[in-house]
Amino acid sequence: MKFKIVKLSRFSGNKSSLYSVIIDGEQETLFDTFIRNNVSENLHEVEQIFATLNSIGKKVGANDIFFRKKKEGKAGDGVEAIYDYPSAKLRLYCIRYGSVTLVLGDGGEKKVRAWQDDEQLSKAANEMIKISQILTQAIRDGDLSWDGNDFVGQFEFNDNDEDED
Amino acid sequence: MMKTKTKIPEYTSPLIEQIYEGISQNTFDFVANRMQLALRISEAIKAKNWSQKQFAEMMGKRPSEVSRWLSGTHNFTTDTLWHIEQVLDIRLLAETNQESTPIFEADRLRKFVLQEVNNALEKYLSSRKLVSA
Repeated sequence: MKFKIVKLSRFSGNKSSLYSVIIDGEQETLFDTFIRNNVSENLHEVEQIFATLNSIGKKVGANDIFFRKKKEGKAGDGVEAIYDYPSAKLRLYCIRYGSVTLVLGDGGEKKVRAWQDDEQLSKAANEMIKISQILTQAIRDGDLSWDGNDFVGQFEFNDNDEDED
Repeated sequence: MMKTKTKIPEYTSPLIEQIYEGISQNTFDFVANRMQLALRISEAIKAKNWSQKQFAEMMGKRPSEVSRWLSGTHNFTTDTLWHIEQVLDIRLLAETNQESTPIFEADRLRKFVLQEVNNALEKYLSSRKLVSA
């Protein structure tokens, strides 16, 4: 898997920096893909998500209370979902490092109770689990770190050439 | 793995900008207020060294309900906020002994509704453009 992380300047603020992922060969982030696939059917929810992300970046930070930890992936895989309204249809996957760093991925519409039973949600969740593993390893190896405002260090990743170091 | 030591690039897109610009300030404020209220309650629970489960027990609620309260998506009733104030010993509700100004409020409400109708119309037209884009 080859990808790079980019900082979402529109949502980032003094409480939290928000990032997303561009998969190699794509022109836009996973977050753009999520929006593009859902905005026509769920504009109001997309706007609520935008307002939530804006507050996370500029007002309240990526505090754990604003995220769902259970039922999304395996325990400890690092992937969470933005806490949604009871009537909400959309689920947006992300990776959170403390309250200051949030990496947004793709997601989809919740049509079934378990994400594993939905092709789109399963693809989005598994993609984020893989990205989380790679980023966490990069942090452990010191290739990616936090300077108090931003990620610093490596931002392009290719787990196919791990032996080239 | 190849190491690249460069500043993380900043990013936005026409799609993100178009949707962001279409959101009313009221929506941003509404969501921010709910999340800030949830955070205040969460911090008050932590200040008492209570777990969410302990707080739920003090409130006579299920832990899952308290999780939803703290998610920033809950529409609290005044009664619930009053109860939380008593349990956590904090102030969440504004004072209610100020004189009301019904004519001013009605005017504000009228302007707000008109603005929201305009916003909704603009969003609908924008979404039609996004679908065809």
